[in-house]
Amino acid sequence: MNASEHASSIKGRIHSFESFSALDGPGIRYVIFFSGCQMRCIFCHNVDMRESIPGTYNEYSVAEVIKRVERAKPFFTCSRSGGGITLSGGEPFFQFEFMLNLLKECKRLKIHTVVDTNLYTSPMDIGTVSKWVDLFLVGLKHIDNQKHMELTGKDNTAILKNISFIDSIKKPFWLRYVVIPGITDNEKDIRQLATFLSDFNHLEQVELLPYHCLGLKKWEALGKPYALPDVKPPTAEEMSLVKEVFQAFDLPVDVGDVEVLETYL
Amino acid sequence: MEHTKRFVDGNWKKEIDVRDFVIMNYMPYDGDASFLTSGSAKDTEKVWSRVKNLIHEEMQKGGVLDVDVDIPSSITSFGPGYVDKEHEKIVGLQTDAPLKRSIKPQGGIRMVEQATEMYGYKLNPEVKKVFTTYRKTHNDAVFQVYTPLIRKLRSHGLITGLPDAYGRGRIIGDYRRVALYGVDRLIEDKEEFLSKMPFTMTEENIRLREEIADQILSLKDLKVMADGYGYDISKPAQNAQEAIQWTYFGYLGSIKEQDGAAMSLPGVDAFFDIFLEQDIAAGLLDEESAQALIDDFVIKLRLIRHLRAEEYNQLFAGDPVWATTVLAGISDDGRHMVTRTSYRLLHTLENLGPAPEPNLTILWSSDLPENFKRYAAYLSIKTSSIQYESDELMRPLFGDDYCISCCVSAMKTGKGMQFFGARCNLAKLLLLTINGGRDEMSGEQLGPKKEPLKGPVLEYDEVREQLSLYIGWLAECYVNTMNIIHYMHDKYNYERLQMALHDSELIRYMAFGLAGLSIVADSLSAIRYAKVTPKTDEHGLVVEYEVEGDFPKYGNDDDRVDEIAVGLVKEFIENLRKHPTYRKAMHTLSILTITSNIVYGKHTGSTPDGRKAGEPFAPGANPMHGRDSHGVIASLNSIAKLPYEYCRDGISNTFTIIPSTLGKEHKNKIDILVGLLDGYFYHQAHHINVNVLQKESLEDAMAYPEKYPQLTIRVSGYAVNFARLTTEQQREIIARTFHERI
Repeated sequence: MNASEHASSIKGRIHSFESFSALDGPGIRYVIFFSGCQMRCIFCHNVDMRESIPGTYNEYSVAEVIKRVERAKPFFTCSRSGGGITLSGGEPFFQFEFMLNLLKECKRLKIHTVVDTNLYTSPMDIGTVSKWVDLFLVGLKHIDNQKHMELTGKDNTAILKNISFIDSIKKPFWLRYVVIPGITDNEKDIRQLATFLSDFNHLEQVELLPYHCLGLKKWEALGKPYALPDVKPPTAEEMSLVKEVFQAFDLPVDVGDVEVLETYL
Repeated sequence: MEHTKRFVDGNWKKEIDVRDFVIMNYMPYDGDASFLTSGSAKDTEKVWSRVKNLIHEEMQKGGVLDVDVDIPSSITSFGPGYVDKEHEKIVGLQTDAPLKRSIKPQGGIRMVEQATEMYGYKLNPEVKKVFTTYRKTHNDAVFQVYTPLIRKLRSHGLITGLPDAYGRGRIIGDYRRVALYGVDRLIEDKEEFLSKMPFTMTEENIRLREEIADQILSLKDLKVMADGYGYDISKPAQNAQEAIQWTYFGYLGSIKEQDGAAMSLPGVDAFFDIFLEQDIAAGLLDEESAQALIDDFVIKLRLIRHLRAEEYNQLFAGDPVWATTVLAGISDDGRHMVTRTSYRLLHTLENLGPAPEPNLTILWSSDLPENFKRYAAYLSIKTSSIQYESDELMRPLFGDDYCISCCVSAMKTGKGMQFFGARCNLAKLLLLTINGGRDEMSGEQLGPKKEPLKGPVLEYDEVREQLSLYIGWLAECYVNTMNIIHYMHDKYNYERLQMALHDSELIRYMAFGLAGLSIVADSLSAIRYAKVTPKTDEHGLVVEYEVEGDFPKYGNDDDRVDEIAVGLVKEFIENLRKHPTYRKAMHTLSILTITSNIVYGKHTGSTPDGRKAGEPFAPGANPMHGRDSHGVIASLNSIAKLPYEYCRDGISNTFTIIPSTLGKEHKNKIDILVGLLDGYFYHQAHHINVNVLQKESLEDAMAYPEKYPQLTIRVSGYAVNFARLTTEQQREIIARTFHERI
């Protein structure tokens, strides 16, 4: 078996495909949800993709995935919104070799690539794929290591190092942060996070995602107890408070528009 | 013709050729919307405010403000009517008062009688007597000739919505001709044609002579009608106000004479723009007064009403008239046809708020200026009042001066017309196939008798082969039914004025339609890829299906099932083409349901895709609700696979997305929507209705309609005021797929 035969024999375990998203990277995105994840976030909104258990995913070759992506390509390329693919999940790095092959093929076809990741992986793996990645969406769950442990079951030291590593290799990234009232919106923590982020040159955007309870149904469907049954989504004011902290540090922060559409110019 | 000195000459001076006038004189506009005035002129505001009150009153009265039960409507039957004479810039009403509906019994007296009674009025007995004793109607004539089989197909809902009891509509006069040439020149042209006709009096020639003679009479009537408003339209319009007014008079005369299901307009944006820009350049108008003329014109279109019966309202919900007008597109010489007036027409959605009429239809091309695309997308997000159709698909067939009738039916303006044929129920035909020609609800033998397919498990090849036999059978019945209807409509309810505003020799289309495509594609897919066990009742009739296992579903860009859908439309049109049509019309096919997808559902038993008896169909060419699980692009791509080549009467797709799914920031949302449209049309798609709505706002509007007097939603090639729908229709719309990504 030569290298290319080997590459095409590797199948990815894919939970599902979402042919259109405007919320997972710039422009119009074709999102591929990888099955399996190393972390065990207590608020995971895709808990159904977390365990790579047979029956919860289908296997696809790179060519099979590309065939689907090609059908969406005109939507990315023929207008100024742009777009491309976003690997999400689950955790793409959990299926490193498949991810790498898929990204290479996308770049060969001049498709913009985004990887939505928790960066709980080795700098070497990041270095290897980064050549084929246009943008990382880094989902950092918490800046405080202890709280990170509680929320995800994992240490965040390596993750923070990896964020620094991405910046050092001049790779653009967005930092995605889920605002969970009473859990991730403590002002001191936010300041610490903002301080950490203000050193970077390739951080393009801090994307604040309001926590939502819509993942709860998936936990129920799996018969698993949900750790945050009483936590409500943040109010607009709570989101603003967090946003202001980042702004005070001069960080590009985005929570989306809330006002009514009044002009197109 | 004095005014024509100001315009660039061309063939339009020698012959009736509005297209040539437009192409020689229009100025493409590349700029953005910043030239538009914010808000309406004072006078327009007064008129619109009066209209809003009247519309409110109309809603309070159960949907109809007033009906004249005494005078069958004609071009000249009613004297002038006004909303607010002092402040109106464009005048003319269908009757002598705004929103007062009239009767048009030539299509069918029964429908008129039902409709008047439904709204608590009583038809004048003299009128009834005339149309039952002395004057035969279209409806009576058709039913005299219908065979028992045709009646059965109709009453069992295999073919429905046929224009056999009311005006057929779908014909678009080139109303611009009235403005450009004046009526005298149009009469001369018709007289000349008549004088040059061959002497041989074949049936065909005699009919045409009579029609042209009637057309001339109607043009004379039109002059009388306009004269009542103080306008002499015998000569060409001299300025923008007259150009818009004359054009509107042409349309008004037509809707006084006819109440067809869809009474659409030509594209007027570039045409009006030529006059408006000249008047602006000459200092006769400024932007505000130019916009006021467009606003006033649009207000008139929003006032159009026809008297409809219950049955009709079920099929075509929300009281639509389909004053469809196309905007933009690309000309044959490669210039885009966006003008400032394309913006002005869209801007009425901001000045006057959203509304179903006119049915604003953008002829989309990736080559349209980015500014215009963005303005349209912005208004779609804000108002859900616009539909988009592919100029790239239609221009090669219809040139650069075509119009859209109803929702998706294209024809060359003034050169083509269609015989409207509603649609047949393909899902019901599949059930008939399985039951060997018996109707799945009544058990009656409708089609030729074949062996029923009772399993134990349905075999794909067997079902598909038998379906082909029944498609052939239904196609023959359908063509022949249509031939009867249109023969009689020409004879008893001829559209004199609309046809007067066409060339004397024209292209005719016979427009057939299919409903239930997604159900049949999914059903066949289930039979092929899953295990479908038919269940019979005590009479041996298959009435239920047990489906085990998963199967590919239409709407997920999966060729395994999408190709089944493509094969069905191809087979259907090929079968229709085997049967000759009245007046050698060209067979066309649409995948469009209007809002009859609910009625079709009621009349159709359980289907092998898992849909239960009575449940609504998906509208038009849409996937069934909730089955398009791979997101927007996959869903759009499936629909885009249906070839326009086989469905030249249009392929309707109604698309609903929640605002936040389009992106987080407004600017992005606009670009994303433009990207979706460009990508969709790149895949050779034909049509899309765009709704950007929260499900919650519709639920709220159901509970508190008074809070949403102008909430407009696109349903199936047209838009409706949400509050005008029945509760059942509202529920069905809420149950549809709202594309959402969290």
